[in-house]
Parts: sequence; structure tokens; C-alpha cells
Amino acid sequence: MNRYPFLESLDSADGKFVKEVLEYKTAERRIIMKKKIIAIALAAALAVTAGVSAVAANGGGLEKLGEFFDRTREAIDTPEEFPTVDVTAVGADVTVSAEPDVSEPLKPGEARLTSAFTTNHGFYGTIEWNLEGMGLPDSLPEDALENHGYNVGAVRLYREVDGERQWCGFGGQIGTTRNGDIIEIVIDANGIDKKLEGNLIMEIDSLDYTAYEDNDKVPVPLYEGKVEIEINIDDYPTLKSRYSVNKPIGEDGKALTLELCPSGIEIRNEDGEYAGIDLLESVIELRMNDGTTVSGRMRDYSTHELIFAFGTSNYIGFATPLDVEMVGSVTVDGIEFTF
Amino acid sequence: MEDEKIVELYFARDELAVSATQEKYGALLLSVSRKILGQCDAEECLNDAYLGIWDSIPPERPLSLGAYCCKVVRNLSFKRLEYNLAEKRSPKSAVPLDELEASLSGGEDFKAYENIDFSIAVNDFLQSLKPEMRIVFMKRYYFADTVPEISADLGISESKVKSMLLRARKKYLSFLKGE
Repeated sequence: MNRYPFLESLDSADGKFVKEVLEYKTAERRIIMKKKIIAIALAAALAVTAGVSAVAANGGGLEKLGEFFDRTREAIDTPEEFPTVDVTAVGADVTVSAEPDVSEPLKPGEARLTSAFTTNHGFYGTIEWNLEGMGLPDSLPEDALENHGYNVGAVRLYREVDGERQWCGFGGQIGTTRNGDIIEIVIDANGIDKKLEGNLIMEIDSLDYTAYEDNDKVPVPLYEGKVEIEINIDDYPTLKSRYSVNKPIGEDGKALTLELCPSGIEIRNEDGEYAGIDLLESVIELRMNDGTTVSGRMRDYSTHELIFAFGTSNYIGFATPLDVEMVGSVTVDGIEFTF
Repeated sequence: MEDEKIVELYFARDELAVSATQEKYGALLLSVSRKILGQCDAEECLNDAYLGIWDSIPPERPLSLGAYCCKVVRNLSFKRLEYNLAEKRSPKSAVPLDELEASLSGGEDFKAYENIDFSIAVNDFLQSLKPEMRIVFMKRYYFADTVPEISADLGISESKVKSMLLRARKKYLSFLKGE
């Protein structure tokens, strides 16, 4: 008898099911979506991290992205006034209407983006979602695991090209809190295929909590509807990347440049191609201007999700946004990049 | 090049069909085979697969060339893996297939299911799933994608992927048992 009969039995699958998978495609980046709220001691080194870590630390209320942004504005050189923009939400499973004034109360089913910023490789925002009348229990059920709270199932970003909707990013929550029927979600979308521009549609998918089932942590649905929000990403500020100034030579003899983005790191050669350094396997060290250092390796579980939350061989994403102005140099497997 | 045009090239017995297939689906097919066989054998297997596709189209006229090629490559890869195992060659699969098989089987002995018509049971089962769960199941057990890969591709959490897989596996065994 064959060694893998159950797996081989799936060879009987009709081509239409295989086709369905092939056509359900996806973004270029393969990322590991960050779901945990991480209160980490790295805050001293990764100053911007402090804003997000406070989510876990204070336990009481979720810090709004605007406040987080305010405290880091000087370091990051961003606009004085945090933008308020026209936010129009359109119906998916839940029908919502235009809601340009964010001071107006949300109608049941409506959601809106209250603040946001982007980077070359990421998107961060705060969303309010009114689930009044959607059957939510008054509080988390008794089987909910402690410290896990509410979770949104997914955050997806789409752009429209020639009338067709294309996936351009996905992500998850940094943290979610509940105030009555209003669910407030701080999100990040790190799996973007390229720098986000123009009009986009954000889809927020379902709400659940975490419980044990069959000795595993599983999400238990509380609300399985979706909501969409139309946004113009150009209305939001972009946290800029820095590029290394020295020119270390790679194995192919070409000069390398490291892009230090608030969302993550990538290295390209002088031809603009990826440097061929496997960042998943590399020890990456960030040396801060104050003399402290942070180092880790994506493959190493102890740093995975603490410093680096996701990545591919060509791009490593930070667990939380980084104030790049605080970084003096980055060393990748012994190759130093200075700024 | 569009699938239809490539298929027409096969029907015209134009060898450009093979290079067009390779260009369009080569990376995908190598990835499918590599997970089962490891890099070295996968490259050899792919050559056999291109020959198999050349020999089978015509008379076959697949509606989706990509899906058809994936089926050919997956089938050949498992055949080669079984051959390697029979020859006492250690599998160099890119994914732990033993683990994947064990999770899909739920510890059940396949002998109990040997007389089943899988072309019916498997497709009835897949048809019964909601699209998202079906894609998650196929990615894991057909394409041998990892849970983090599926999570990233579909934009859902790893725990949700695990939960969907758990439910799908239970349902799969139920279908095999005719329940």
C-alpha cells in the first residue's frame, strides 16, 4: 500500500477545485499575519513601539492611533495636524452609508477609518465599527480565553483596476477593544504588494473570540458579517523610509543598499534587484543612536513576533512600526549598513 | 499567453506549447513537486510532467491548463515518491508529508476505505464545503502549503486556518465513511 494514501486520494479532486485555488491569488508577499498584542521591553529601543505596546500595558482602553501618532510626530517629521478625511463606507454584507463627519455617531453596521498612516511597505489605522443589533453578547462568553479579547477575522485592501477589484494588501489587528456596541480596532496591513496609492477599499471581515477546542486555540465566531470602507490613501501621511549611505559589496560584486522602512527591511543591489540575502535566516541587528541594540533572527521563535512579525527571504517586517530616525546602523549577517 | 492559445499549440503539435507552459506555470509546478519530492527530484519530475502533458493534450482539452498541469505534476510526484521509498531512498520532501498524512487521516487505517470510489467521495466532499474552507483545505492537503502560508495568502489568522482545517478533516472522514 502507498505510504500517503489519504494525500494521494486527493488526486481525484476535480480540476475546477484546483483551478479555484490557483485563481484565488493573492499578494506577492507571503507574510505571517500578526495577531498578538505584544507588550515588549523593546520599547526603550524601538521608541515608536511604545504607542502600540501601551495597548497591552494599560489594559483599560485602546490607545488611538492619533495619540500614538502625536507622541511620535516630532521624531518622524509628519504633518502638524492629524488628517481627518472623507470616509465613505459602502455595503458588503452590511449596508452602510457615506459618513464624512467622523464626529457623527455611527449607524448600526457602519464602520469608518478614524486615522491612518502608510509606509512603503505597510498601512496602519484605527477603525470604529458599530455592531449594534448584530447579535453580540453583552460581554465575552465564559469559555473565552483570558487576555485574548475580541479579534477581527481579517483586514483586506483592494484597489479597482479597469473596473475589477484586485487585492493589494491584507493584515490583521494590533489590538481590539469594545465600548458598548462600538468595536475599535487598531490594524496593520503589512502584506501589501506595492506602495499603496489612490482610492482603496478596505474590508473588515467578522469578529470572533478565542476558546479552546480539541486542545487547540480556535476562534469562535461572534459576528460573521463584513463591512467595507472606501478610503483615499493619498489623504494620509506616509512615514518615509531611510536608505543606507555606505555601499557594502554583495556576493555578486554589486553595491548594496538597505531600505529601512518603519514597517521593515529590504536590501537591493545597484541594479535595483533583491540582494539575494535570505533575510529569514539572517541575524539582523539594529543599532540605535543611543547606543542600545536590538537583534534577532526571523527563524528564531524567541524573536519571531517580538521584533520581526513576518517576512519573506527578501523582506522582513517589524512587529510594530519603528522610528527609523533613531537607528544608526543595521547589520545583516555581519554586513553593516549605515545611515 | 492565454491558456486557450497554449492548448491550441498543443493541438497543433507545436513545441512552443511546452515552453509557453513552462514559462507560465513552471514556477508553480516546481513548487508543487518540490514540496513532495525536494528540489532535485522535483526538477526531474517536471521534465517527465511536461512530456506527460505533451502526450495527453490532445486528446485532453483542459478548461484550465494550470489546474490540469498541477494535477499531472502532483500525481507524478507522488508516484516518484512511492518509487523512491520502495527503493529505500529517503524522502527529501520540502514539507513533512508523514505529518500531513497523519493529520488528514486522523489516525484512521486507509484499508477501511480502499473500496471507495474516491472520484465521487472527494468531489462530493469538496463540493459540500464553503469556498473559503475548500481553498484552505486544498492549499494544505493538495498543495501542501503551510498554515502560515495559507494564513498570509488568504489574509486570515493562523488559528482560524487551523480551526477550518480541523472541521474540514472531520467532514472529509465523514464523507469517506458515507455518513
